[in-house]
Order: sequence, then C-alpha cells, then structure tokens
Amino acid sequence: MPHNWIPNSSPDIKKELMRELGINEIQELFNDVPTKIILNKGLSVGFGKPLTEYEVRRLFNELVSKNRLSSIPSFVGGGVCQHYVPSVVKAVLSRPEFYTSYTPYQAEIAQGLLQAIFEYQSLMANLYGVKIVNASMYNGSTASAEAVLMAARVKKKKKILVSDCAHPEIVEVIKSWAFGAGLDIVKVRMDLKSGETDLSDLRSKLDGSTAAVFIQTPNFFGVVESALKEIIEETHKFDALSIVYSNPLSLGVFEGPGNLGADIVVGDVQGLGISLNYGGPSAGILGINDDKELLRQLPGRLIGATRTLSGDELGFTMILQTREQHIKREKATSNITTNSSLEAVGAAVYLTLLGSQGLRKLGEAILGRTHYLIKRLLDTGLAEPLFRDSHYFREVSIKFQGRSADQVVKLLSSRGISIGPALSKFYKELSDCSLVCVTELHARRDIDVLVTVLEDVLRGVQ
Amino acid sequence: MTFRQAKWEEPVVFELSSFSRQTFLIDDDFVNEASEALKRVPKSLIRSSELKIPNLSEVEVVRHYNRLSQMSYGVDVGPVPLGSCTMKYNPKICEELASDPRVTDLHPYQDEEEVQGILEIMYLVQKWLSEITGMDECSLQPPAGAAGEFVGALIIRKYHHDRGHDNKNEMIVPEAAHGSNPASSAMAGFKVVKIPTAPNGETDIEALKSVLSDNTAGLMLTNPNTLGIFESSIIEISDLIHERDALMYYDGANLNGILGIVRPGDMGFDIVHLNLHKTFAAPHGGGGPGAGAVCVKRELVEYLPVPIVGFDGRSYKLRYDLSRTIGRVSWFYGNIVPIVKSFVYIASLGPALREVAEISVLNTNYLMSKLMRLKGISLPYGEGRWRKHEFVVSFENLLKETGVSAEDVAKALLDRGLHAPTIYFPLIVKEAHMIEVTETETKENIDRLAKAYEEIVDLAYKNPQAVKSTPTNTSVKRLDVLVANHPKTLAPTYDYLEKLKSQGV
Amino acid sequence: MVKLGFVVNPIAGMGGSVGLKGTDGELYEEALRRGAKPVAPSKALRFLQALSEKGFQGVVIAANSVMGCDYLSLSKLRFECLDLPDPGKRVTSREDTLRVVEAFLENSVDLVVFVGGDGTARDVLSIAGAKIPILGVPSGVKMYSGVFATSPETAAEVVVEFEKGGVVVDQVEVADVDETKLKEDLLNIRLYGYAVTPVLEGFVVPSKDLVSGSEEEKWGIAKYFIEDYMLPKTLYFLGPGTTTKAIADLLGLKKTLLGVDAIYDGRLVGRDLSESEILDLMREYGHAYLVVSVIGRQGYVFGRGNQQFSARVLRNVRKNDIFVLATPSKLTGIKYLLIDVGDPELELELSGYWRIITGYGEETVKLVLPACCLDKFLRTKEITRVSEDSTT
Repeated sequence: MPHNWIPNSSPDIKKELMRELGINEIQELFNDVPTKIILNKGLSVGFGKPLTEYEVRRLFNELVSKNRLSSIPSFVGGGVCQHYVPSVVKAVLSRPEFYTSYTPYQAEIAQGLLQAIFEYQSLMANLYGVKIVNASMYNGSTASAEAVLMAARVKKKKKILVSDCAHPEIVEVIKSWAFGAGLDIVKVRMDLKSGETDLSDLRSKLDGSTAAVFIQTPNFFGVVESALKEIIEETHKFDALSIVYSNPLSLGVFEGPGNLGADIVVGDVQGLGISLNYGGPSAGILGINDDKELLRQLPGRLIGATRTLSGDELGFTMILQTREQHIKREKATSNITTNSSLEAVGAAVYLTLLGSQGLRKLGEAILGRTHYLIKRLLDTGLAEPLFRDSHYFREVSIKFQGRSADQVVKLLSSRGISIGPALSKFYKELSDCSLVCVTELHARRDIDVLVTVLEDVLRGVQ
Repeated sequence: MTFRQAKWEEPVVFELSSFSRQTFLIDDDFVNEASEALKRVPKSLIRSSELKIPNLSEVEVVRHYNRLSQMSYGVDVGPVPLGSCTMKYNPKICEELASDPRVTDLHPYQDEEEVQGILEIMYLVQKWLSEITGMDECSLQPPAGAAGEFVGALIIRKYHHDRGHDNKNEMIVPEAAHGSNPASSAMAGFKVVKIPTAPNGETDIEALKSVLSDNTAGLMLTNPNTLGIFESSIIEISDLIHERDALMYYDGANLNGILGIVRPGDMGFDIVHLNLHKTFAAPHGGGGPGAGAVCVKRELVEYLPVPIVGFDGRSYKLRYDLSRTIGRVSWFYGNIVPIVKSFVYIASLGPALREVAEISVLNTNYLMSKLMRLKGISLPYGEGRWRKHEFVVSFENLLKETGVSAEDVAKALLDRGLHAPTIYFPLIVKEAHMIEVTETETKENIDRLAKAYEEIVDLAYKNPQAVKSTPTNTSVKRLDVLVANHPKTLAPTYDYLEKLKSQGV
Repeated sequence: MVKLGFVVNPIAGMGGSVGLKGTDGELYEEALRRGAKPVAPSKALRFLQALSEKGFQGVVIAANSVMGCDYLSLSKLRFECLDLPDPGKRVTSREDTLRVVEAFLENSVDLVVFVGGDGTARDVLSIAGAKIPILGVPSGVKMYSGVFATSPETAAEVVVEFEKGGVVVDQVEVADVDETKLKEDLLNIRLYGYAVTPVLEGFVVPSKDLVSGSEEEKWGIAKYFIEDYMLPKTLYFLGPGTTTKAIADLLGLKKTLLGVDAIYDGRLVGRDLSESEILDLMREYGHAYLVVSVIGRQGYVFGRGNQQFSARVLRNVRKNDIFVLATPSKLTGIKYLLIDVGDPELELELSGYWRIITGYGEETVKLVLPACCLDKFLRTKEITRVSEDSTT
C-alpha cells in the first residue's frame, strides 16, 4: 500500500531494496518472529482505509467542533489559566529546525537550539532568583515531585512536609513519585482564616528528620503566602531544604523565591507564551540555589556554555550528563529523558519579547484585575473571597455563601461563561466555593459581565 | 554534496542591544487597582531584586530566534538516523490540526460537556493504541515514555502488593536495555537485576532462568531489542516469567518495526508503554514534549493512572473510578497536543500502518547490508540475523587500526549534512553507532548516508587526522566537553559565563 | 603549578616477548640472554610527547638518565633532573626506584607517573603509600594492578586533566604475581595494597572512558549488603579489598584491607585469617557465608589475592553462600569471571551464572568459569593478551 509519507513504499523501489538483500518478499525479514504470534488480520484502527488530507481535516473539524469555547475569555483556574500567546512565540515555535529536531546530542549541529535553551535557563534563573535552572521537566507537577526526591537524596532524610494549600493534584503526583523512595509525605495544615500555610502547625511538624518543606505561592486558593520568608527561615533551622513553587507570571511583581532563601524553586511555564493545551504539554521549571550538592542531584538536562577545542569560539553543549539515566541508569538522579524543550524555548521567547518592563507590567495588569474582581464581588453581597483579608494573585477562591458551587458553575457555563473548578472537586467541605481566574485577557467589561451574570445566577440558586 | 550550516555569531540574548526599547505592549487599564493592591502586600514580598531580562523590540527578538533556528537541524532539514529515537518525518497536517484553538485553548478543568470533541479524540486514541499493542485499555496520562515506564513499574509493584506478595521486589532488566528501564524500576522501589545478552543478540535465557525466584516481580523487555533483533524466544520467556507469577513489561519505544505485524499483547506482555513522539509521528521538539501512553491487559485495567476517558453510550467522561489505581503521575490528563497529532497520524494511515513497519525494516536492512561491505565496521551479536527498526554497528576495529573513534565518525557525518546516529549505545557494543532510518527516508538519502560512511572510513585509513578534526562545516567546530563539565569552568547560565569572561577564562 | 614526579623502569616489560613472567631480579639476566629488547623507553617517549601535545603546563621532576631525563631532554616539557640514580648507571634496580620516589616525596610532587609494570607499581606504592596519587604508564609484563592507564596517551590525558582539576582520585589495587609461587610454576596473584590514582571524573561524555564515583558505589554496595542480606547470629568471612572493607567500616569494625576477616553478629571474630583458621572458625560456628570482591583486571572471584579461600574452604560452603561484590567500573570489559583454586572438580561445580552485587539495589548476572577447564587456547590467550598490551 504505497503512501506519500513513506517514500520507499513504491513497488519498484521496494524491489530494488530487496534485491540488495537477496529476498523476494518483505515477509522474509520477519522470519524470526514465531508464526503463532504473527498477526493474521489487519489492524482495525483509523477509519477503515488511509484517509486523504481533506478527508482527515473534515473529520477532525467535525470532532473539535464538539468542543465549546466561551465567547469571553475563560475564567477557569486551578493552576493553569488562559493567557495571551503572542504571535511571535507561535512563529518561533513553528520553525521546523527547532520542532523537528531531537535532543541536541550532537552539539556542533544544534548550537541554535542549545543557545536558546541556555538562554531559557539563564532567564528563568534570574526570574526565580536562583543560581541554576535546568533545561525543563514535563510540567509543574512532575517538577515538584522531582524537587522533593532531590531534596530527600541530598539530605538523606525521608520526611517531607507539604503545605495543604498546594495544588491537590501536585500533592498527589508528589506522593506517587515518592513511593519508591519510601518518603513520608506529611501535610501541613492550612490556616483557615488566611488560607495560608499554618506556621504553628509547620513548626510543630518540623524536626531533624525533615528533608524538605514544600510551599506553593500564590497557592492553590490564589492566596499569596505572606509569611514565605519566615517559613523558609523555620525550614532552615532544622537543616531541611525549602522548596517553593511559584507562578512565573507573578515574579515581575513579587520577589523571586530564591532571593528570599528558597533552596529549590519550581513552577510551570504555562502562560509564558504556552497555551492551555487541555492541560499539557507545558514545561516544568526546576531551579536550585547552589552549585555543589544540589547540582549533583539535579535531575534532567542542563545546557552549558563552553568553547571549541581550538579554543577560539564560544559554544553550547549538554553538560553533567552522568547524572542522567542514559549513562548512569539505575543510579541516575531521575529517569527523565524527553523533557519539554520546545515549551522552554517558547517561554524564553516570551520573556525576551516582554522584557523586564513588560513582565512587570503584566504582573501589575493581573494583580490589578484580581483586585478589581474582588472589589466587584464584595459589592454584590452574594459572594466573597474565601479568605477575606488575604492577598490574591490571578486566582481567587470565591465563596457563594452556601450555594452549591457545582450548580453555579454549570449555570454560568450555560450562559457562555466558564469559571471553576468548583472546589468540591477536591474538598468536600468547600461545596460552596469555586476558583475564578483573571488574566491580561480580561477587559474591565469582561469582569463586569462575569459579576453581573454571577449575581443573577446566585439570586436564583438556593 | 557540500554542506555549510548557517553561522551567525549571534550574541547571547542579554548582549543583543545596549538600549532599552519598548517591548511587547501591555495595557495600563488596571494600574490604579494594582497600586492599591500592592500597598497592602508586605514589602518583603515585593520584587526588589533586578529583573535581568533585556528590553527588545519585536524585530530584534524575531531575528535572534530565527538565526538560532538556522543553526539547528531537524528532520525537516535532513535525515536524523538516531537509533532508538525513531526520527520520522512529522506530517504537516498533524501539526496544523493540533494547533487548532479548539484544542489549544481548552482548559483542563472545563466542564466535560464543553469538551466532548477532545474527549472523543482521546477515547479513540486509547482504543486504537489498545488494538495496535494487543492490550485491553490505555491511559494517556504519562507525559513521556520514561514516565510511562515508571507507571508500568508502579503498576507491577501495586499488583503484587495487593496480592500480598510484597516479597516480589526484583525487576529483571537486560544489560542492553534503555537506561530509563533500570532508572524507572529503581524509582518504583525495585531492586534491579541485570541479565546479559547472548551471542545471538537475544536475552540469555540460561542467565534469565538463573535469576528467577519467588522474588521476581517482572521483566522489562523491548522487542525488537536495542540491537534491533527480534527476541525469537519471546513465548518461552513470557512463560518463564508468568510461571513465577511475575509480569511482563514491554518498553514500546521500539514499536516502529513491528506495527501491524506482531503485537506485544500476543507475545505475552502484560503492560506496554508507547512513545507517541516516536512511532506515532509527534515531533520531538528538540528534546520534548513527548507523550507516553501505558496500555495493559484486562486484569490490570483497574491499576491504570486516573483519569482515563470512558464512553457511556451518550457522552465521553473522565473516569476516576478505577478501584486499584496507582494514582496520578502527572497533573491533568497527559500531553494532549502530541496525542492529537498522533490521532491525526493514525487516522490518516489506518491499515497502512503495517507499511510503516515493513518499509522501516526494509530500509534498516538495506543500509546495514551496504555498511557491512566497509572496512573497520563490524556487526556484533546476532550474525546472519535480520534487524528490525534499527541496527547497531561497531567501529572498534576502525579505532584500533586508525585511531578514529565512533564519535569522530559521527562528527564527520555532520560535516556532510547528515545528522549522526546514536553513539556509544547500547553499552554492550564498543564504539557503537545505533542507526535507525525509519520508513520516511528516501532511498537516495539512505544511499547518501552509506556513501558518507564509506568516504569517512576510507579517509580514516588514509588520513585519520582529517576525520578527527571534524566537524568544520557546522556552526561551530568540535566543542571542548571537558571545559564544559569542569567544576571551575561550568557555565549553566549567563551569570556564570559573564563571571568566567571577567576572569579571562 | 603542578609538579609531576616521573620515573621509568627501563627494563620493565622486557620479559614478555621472550616468555618470562617479569623482569624482576634475576629474570632480567635471563631476558637479556633470550634476546629481549627494552620496551619502556618507547612508552616513556610516547607519554611525554602526548603530554606536551596536550599542553601540560607544569614542571616534571624526573629521575636521572635512563630512568627519566634522557627522554625528557627529547621533549619540549619543562623539567628538572634529580641526581638519582648515578648518571653512569645503565642497569637500574628496585633500590633505585625506591630512592627516586623518596626524592619525589622530599620535593613534594603532586603526582607520580611511572613507566613500568606490576613490580614497579609495588615499589612505587611501598614509598608513596596513600600520600601521593600514582599513575602507571603501562610497560610491564604483568599489569594486574589498577594504577595503569590503558596507554601512554591516555596516561597523558589523565595527567593534563589532573592539572586542570578535572579528575577524582580513587583507591585501586596494586597486585603482583607471587614470585615464591612462580618458581613452583603457579601463577599466584597477590594483593599488595591500595594506591590512590587519578581517574577522569564522571563529568565527561560517554565517548570517554567513564569511571564515575566508584567510591560512592562501594558504600552503596556495602549498605545494600548489610540491609538486604546480612543476618544476625551468622558467620561471614569478608575477603580482601576495599569493597568488602566498606561493609566492616559501616558496621564500625576495623577490617584488614588485604586479609580475610570474620564477622559474627556485628563483632569481628577473626582478623587476617589463614586457610586453617578459616576452617577452624567454620567448624566452631557451623555455617558461614563468604563475601568476596572481584580481583584484578581479569576478573577472578577466587584464586587471586584471596588464596585463603582455598578449595578446602570452598568445599564447606554452597554456591548460594557466596556473595560477590563489584563496582560497575570493575566489571567493564570483563566478559566472564574466573575461579582458580586448583581443584577442577570443585571449580566445575561452582561455575555457572552468579549474581554479582554492583550497587545499592542493583545486581547483575555474570558467567563464572572454571580456570582449570577453559580450554588451553583460551587460557594462553588471556595471559598473552596482557603481555601483548605491554609490548605494543
């Protein structure tokens, strides 16, 4: 069955190749496969026959038209939110020299890609205030898990304190990944008044056996952890490492966690020129504030600058590969091989496009909208932030005062407005709460519409 | 054919301009609210340290990255015969359709009713991959192949645990396996027991028998193996493992050579992971993102990571109701965009997937046959055996006779406008080149590759120094990896580089 | 600036081509009689040439005349000559080597490079001990020790990296043929001690010889063995070597490095035991396990460096009572392991697939073969391979 994606599938070419091998049928190349397991039927995949490009396009259109996008930008939060993806980022990421290339094992022919990732590492390290950021992990959740595992290896201790205010799916991922290492994942309670990590509970659980403390800020509820510095200092008193997950879009306004003393920083590039993608792909950010012990245990790829052997030119190459699985195998710091290079490059393009000016302004634009949303909600008297006096960034956990959030979300959806997730998805006791996310995409009138419709819906729901 | 890669002495982005220009426009509509909010935030949390990001105009940014792209090399530029990587051509229709906003702008926490289209696509991919692998159900959650392996290892662990067999803590892995196999096993808490490869290039069955015990939890195998050889005793191996109440795990990174011809499920495997960015044509993105599905036989379905997509006859749903699930290995539902690309790929080919396997194997053996005529190259293990999706040659003789190493040969290939194969892997072959041309390479290019090898080997015998001083046609000449890795000259960010420069290094 | 001590044993390796097991002592005369030609000078020259090509910046402190400076004067390297040995001396001895290395210590060199074989390695080690790293340029008849680079050129590469700081030092075995047994025509390899030697650090691409963190691996092996295999109230005999010693170290026990020691329930119940003492303890405690490491570049499990574990001892244990430990770097390039205890029946009985502990939670299967009955061809090939290496 000749196909235009398979250039040697024409009968005359096949024949010529087979002549070189002295065979008459391609089947002969499979003579070592036991006959009893050879598949004696065609695969029933696809749509019964190879499709032409116009057939597949039509079919695809029919499928994706079943997906509904809201008419005004989505207000759905929960760790990732809809942001604007600049055309420049799309243009660069569609350069085939980038997206159709492999991991740059042959550095001399991949200098451009290597330099772009090196720039990503440098930009991100500065943004988070750390010394080194690796070439990316799969996403924020696996970066968090790897950070925890790394901390346990460095400290040779097993107890990990994880803030209960962190994204529940991140916590689940940490637990799955920590299974083999036998780590003891202990949750630190939320302060019910502020929606922040409870400092006194943290103090009571921190001890000499603690390897690390994992904190997210702004946390899952959208709340900025205002005692971050104290948390880090407490952590260090017990020879434990501080791991801080933060939203890179907040760091034009808020201090980089590394500059506040965090040992390991994590995050996700979604929003930095990277679309929602129904949850993936994105790229995980993982950085460290040390270039010795943590570096030895840092998982994933790392690009470094070097010079040519002749000594006269600057160049880039993958470095410290012995930490990686293809050489060190079961001793490797992680099993990761494929990562998210393309998204990392996308994030670098985005940061370069915005510059320090743009990033600061973007942070303020989001912060301003968050503030405006809260003000408008309070005005309604029907909804309020779950934690009234806390500082929010981008996402706000909203309490509908006894009304079922599930129902509110559905009713808004039917009126073309997406919010969520309803917090009952993760916490049964918070059945009247939902997250709402605002970004640079939302004009003042979008937020006004949301609040007006919400008010209307809330009046109708008991 | 001569080749000259672009060479822009492109400064690192921090050195592009000494001016601070107007950057990408951001609105000022909420500045008042922002300053109000900032007044309340504790001072210590507000950024005071320098944001060292250059402020550039749009054209500067675009030129910078386009120049960098010109100093890179992918499948759309020329052959990338990296073994074990399946660097096939990425059809443009897959790229275009997957970038539809009705895919990329979907939020993972959107109401399921709003995303029926994407759920249906995921459901079909689960079904198709089950059919291709001979399994019963798949989860698309693992973001890459290695994460899929980790999922598989966790399933094995939990399966034995639930049956009260916590003593089953040994994972058997062949010496020649992908490095991620032992790494994933270790992450799931297994002891790793390595077994050697027999001279025929297959798993040494006697060695396997010698390590089997009540503690055996499973065997991780890839078939065809990393030498490209089909494990013809696979049924016997599966039986041996199953007799010990252990599970068979299939590393599906190497599926390309058997698509539609033989299925892991029929070989006796219980768990399979797949790299959609290899066999199913999602591009590799310079190192990622990938997508890795995990497929299992019926008795293990309840162990899959949640959610998977289900269909109740009316609508598609995210199913969280698997009773013995190992939990989540990543947030949300997987790397959807590459999954969509693979959907378009499989939909387009349908039954022609078998052609993929046939031609990739034909191409492999054709190139191998041509290379075997050259001096200094040998084919260790499995004499007289056909290879499948890839083959591994050794330049040990060339090194002994001329001092030219596998790495030198690889660099000389770059000079001829060809990407090098995977080198120094698998570890059981000295001076290895692991070559995989896939089904998407033309005969002309395979001939060019063979010719390039011939020229390089000839040159090695005449003038080894000429090979050792390659590459010269790439953007830079050979790089000093020792300087790159040396603790004193390590430069993983621009700050380190600046410091080294100021010290005159 | 790096100070490199450089000494050549000019007669090393001469015996190989004429069928002798070494050139130590009276064998030298015999080698000359058989028409042997010196091989060390060409190795020395190759090393020095590579060193200068690779851009060594330091200074070489060299022994005089045929033991060093003769070759250095042909190179572009910066060097200083010791006044040892006497310039007129054309035939040098062990004592000369010893005195030169002493002089190196007085001159506080950073690294000693010697050109020679196992005999020379022993001599250098006896003075240098663990104080200074030593590195061998291979030129001997026998090279069982781990201090040798694979060629003069790699030796130069290691030195240049040593200068740049890109190496780690590792403990390696110095082993040699037991001459007293040689006269009885027995090839008996003894372990003479442990030297520190520079190895290229793991931070290199896979194309380079990869020796990574074997120190860390040793601790991993020891920890794993204790946690997963060691039973209370059980007798363990720990064979010679640093890996087995790591077990004792972790248990807080002082084990001899080169001897066989016995451990019972966390206590040391025997040190540096002889064959008969081992047998006595076995009788006293009933059941015992043997813990050995792989010795030498040929991969011996028994019969090299641990002859205390004789055929008589081995007859008292089952195959499953023997644990073999080896760091992965030790096993690189070794196709199979060997048992050589002079008892063909026992050797055959013990041969087969063995599990080797190679790291924490990591084991590998290796074929263990009886030295007795590898066919004669294979055996001669194994031994001549070493001498070939030394003469090429």
